[in-house]
Amino acid sequence: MHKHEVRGHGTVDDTQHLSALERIHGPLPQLMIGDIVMIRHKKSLVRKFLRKVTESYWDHTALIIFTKNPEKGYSSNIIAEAIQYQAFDAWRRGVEVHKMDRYLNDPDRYDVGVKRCMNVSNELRDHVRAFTLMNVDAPYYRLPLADLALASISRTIRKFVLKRQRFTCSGLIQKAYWNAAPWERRHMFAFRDLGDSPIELQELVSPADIAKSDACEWIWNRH
Amino acid sequence: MDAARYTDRSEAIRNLRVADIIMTRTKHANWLLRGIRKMSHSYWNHSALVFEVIRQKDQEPEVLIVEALDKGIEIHRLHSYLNEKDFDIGVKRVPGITDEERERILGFFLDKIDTPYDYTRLFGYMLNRIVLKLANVKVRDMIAQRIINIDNFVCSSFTQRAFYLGVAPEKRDRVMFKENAGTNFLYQMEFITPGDIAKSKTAEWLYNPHD
Repeated sequence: MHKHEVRGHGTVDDTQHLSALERIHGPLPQLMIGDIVMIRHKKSLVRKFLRKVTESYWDHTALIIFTKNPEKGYSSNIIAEAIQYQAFDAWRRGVEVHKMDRYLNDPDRYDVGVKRCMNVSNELRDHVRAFTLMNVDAPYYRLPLADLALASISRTIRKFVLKRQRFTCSGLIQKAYWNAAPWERRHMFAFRDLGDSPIELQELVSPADIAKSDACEWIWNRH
Repeated sequence: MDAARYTDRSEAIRNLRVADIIMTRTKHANWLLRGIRKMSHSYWNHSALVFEVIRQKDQEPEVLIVEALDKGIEIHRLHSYLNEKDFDIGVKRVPGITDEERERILGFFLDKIDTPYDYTRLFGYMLNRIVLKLANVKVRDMIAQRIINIDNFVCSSFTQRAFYLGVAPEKRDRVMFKENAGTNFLYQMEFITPGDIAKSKTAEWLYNPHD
């Protein structure tokens, strides 16, 4: 049996069941439906510009919609995410459901962190999941390479771009919590300043806003 | 062919349950989809399964389906098939599935998300047809053993595997869609088309029956 020192988590007897990123950052805690997965793409130019413009380590977000349950036959956490695969319209997808392992097992291309909205009932988590599933196949707003490239070198252009750029991946998460929460608690799940109207808030929130927000806490690989 | 339980599509959708089978026919089909219909002598060219039904007050439920598409096992909204200009849909249900078995079938869906599509199998189906036509020799056993990748799926083999692994072991014989006695197990499980599912008495029609 192998013994490994896992950062921050002492000695783990057998890390063979761990994903590649868990071997680096330590085992994932028990995840819950509605946990927010932060993702960094290491080999994407568009994402690099996006990180620079939003001043964040992270450039993409996803939501846990099923937590792994080997007894029921599935051993990976399942995420919903809004994806832009390519720059061309015809190849752009939208909200999709995938295994979280696709990110956890490829440390050369991705880094992953997890945040959690605390004091959330299971009922609200189920509503978040239902809202997210009802948005499967919703289209993706384009991340414009040229605008982001210019914004990364000019503060003026950066303000202009960020003012109007919609982020589907993080917008999906904001909308899911905003719509699932009872109206009197919605302000607790606003991931950016409430200076925005609710509609603006749901459209314009970025992965960086979620990463920096106090509305959810880091539970794994804080950045 | 037995009559369907529902004649109205909305009524059928309101009564969908996890693991119900959605048969689809693409109206402006490309050569591949037309080939699948021709090869299987069927009206249908694709099958998917109900993954989740989200019921809403006073509204038609939102239905999610799981299906093997070109990128692999994916989840989509049934909504994408409800455009009558582009698609026709039918619904079948395997009777006698318990809630516990539906849970196991759902677990199978979640375990197989992102599993790649088995393009070699499509090539095998075509090869079988060509050799049968040219030399009147069936090469399906050779294809089943050497070409089919049983770790990957086409739409109908995904449907078959979900039921086979989802039901209690003693019920597995009752959820095979290819009912020809004497065919080998691998052939029954893997060499299956949407037409086999459409024609099978293993599942009953809920809406829009067609062979």
